Amino acid sequence: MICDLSNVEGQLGRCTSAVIDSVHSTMSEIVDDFLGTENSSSMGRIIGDGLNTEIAIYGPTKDGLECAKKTVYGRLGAQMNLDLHAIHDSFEARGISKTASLVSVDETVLRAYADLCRFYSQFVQFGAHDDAQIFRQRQIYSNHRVWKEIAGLATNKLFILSAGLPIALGYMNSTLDERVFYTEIHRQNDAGVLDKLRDFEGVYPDPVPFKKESWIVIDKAYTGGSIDHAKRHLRSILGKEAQISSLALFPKSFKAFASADYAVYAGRLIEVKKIISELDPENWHRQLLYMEA
Amino acid sequence: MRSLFEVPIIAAAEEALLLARRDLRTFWASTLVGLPDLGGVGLSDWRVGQTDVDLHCDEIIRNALAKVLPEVEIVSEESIPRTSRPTGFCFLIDPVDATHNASAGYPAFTSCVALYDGDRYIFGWVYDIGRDVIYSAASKQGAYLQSSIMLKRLRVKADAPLERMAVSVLRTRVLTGRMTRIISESGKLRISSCSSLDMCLIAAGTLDAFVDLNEPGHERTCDIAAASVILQEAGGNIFTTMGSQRQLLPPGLEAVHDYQSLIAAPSLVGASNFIL
Repeated sequence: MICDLSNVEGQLGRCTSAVIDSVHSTMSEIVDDFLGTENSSSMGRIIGDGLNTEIAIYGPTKDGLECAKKTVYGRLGAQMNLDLHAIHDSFEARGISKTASLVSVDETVLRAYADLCRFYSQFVQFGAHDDAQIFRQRQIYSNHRVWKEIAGLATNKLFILSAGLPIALGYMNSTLDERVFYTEIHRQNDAGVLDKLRDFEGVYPDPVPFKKESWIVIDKAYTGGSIDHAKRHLRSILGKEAQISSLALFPKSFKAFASADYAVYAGRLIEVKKIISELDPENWHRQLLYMEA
Repeated sequence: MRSLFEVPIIAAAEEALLLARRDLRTFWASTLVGLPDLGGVGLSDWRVGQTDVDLHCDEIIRNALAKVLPEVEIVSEESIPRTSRPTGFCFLIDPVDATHNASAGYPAFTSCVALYDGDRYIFGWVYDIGRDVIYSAASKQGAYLQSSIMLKRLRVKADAPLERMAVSVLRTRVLTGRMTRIISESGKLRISSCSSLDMCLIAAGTLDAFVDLNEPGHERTCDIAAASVILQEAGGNIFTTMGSQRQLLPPGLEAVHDYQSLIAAPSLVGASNFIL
């Protein structure tokens, strides 16, 4: 991934909407130029439904892709100095990066993580713990204004393992909210399935004592399918009366954005129903960028 | 397990040592667990100071570090060390602390690696081979214990009177009044003969003190440098029997020969139970 308007990372995320928009377009041209060269013959642009926000490329090796990204940013740097356009600090930036060190977190968060690991260890094959992603977290999402805003949306927050773990830990570290729960969605093509002893089917910790309180399911959203799945699963546990809303982090498609109750887009928390009617499904990703609420 | 710290050279060292840990763990499962009567290992007498176990573990750690950080000098207890002070980064390795325990099949021994920078040790890594857990710390970034599943931040216990302290000692040949008092009055007494492990256990709040009151003592810089970083980052410290700060030497010849007594404790208050 070269650049993502839904979560603008790095120095670009500190710039104004207009600069981000302009750089995104420039970057797109640079990528197309780069992919036209001989050196990149095995690489290509990822294009498809639900990828409005991203400039992304594919290639045969991770190193090659990293090198390509460096080249693209190098060419961009030769054209403009992003430092001159930075107006936000990281707390207000238009993206949230997964760059905070796990060892920098509050003791309560580290203990909560340890509790989760202890619980989850029962689902992993003996000898496979070393390679299971959940036990190898190193970097979490950094402190950002949206975490505190999210804290007020519902009493209980449900995150989806394992990609949601660094998000949950980042959220907890910013808010010190202890009402954090986890679930897991099982897919047949999940590479980690071979290391599993059995599936984690439920929600951890037990959500039932809190079933009369409000809930929100939080996850990154490509199509929104995982969030919907987790929401249905939670409702099956808590009952039909449960108040469950959803939050799509960095939605990549209009469908994912539109199907959630709330979204975090370009570093801003948005209540979807309040603005959905104003958005053009073809240009929603740029429109949202300029909504600086 | 994962690397924890952000300083690039420390993160690289951690990655290398995670590779070493896998090989050390394999060596434990295939060889060390069979001691003391495993045939064909070629253990020489540990009292001569160097065994095949030391050399094999030394090779594992050196190879892992050299692969990731080939530019960083390595001084090891098992090698002929440098005589001058290092000018850049330098690792100090004790491939097996408490070789006598390993040789005898007693499961209290560790592999220790410390990273020196300029005038102090900035990173400590102690691998408890038998339990497969890693203690590590970096300057101003805290001390941690991790297993394949858990990660825990380390913090020493609060000071307690001697009768409530869990104390690990190195036996003195002559039973002095102080040693008699420690034996008779401490809440719990332990003798593991592995100072690096005991210091990590103080960092973890398991023990309250480690005491070597022998003169001149058994603890060299190479034995305790890594564990000292861990203990200090967990809030503890190391002292002489007179109550002053125990000084560590830079990686080099003297760091493997500076035998001294040692009191390791959460604070000077805790250490004062054992100071002359």
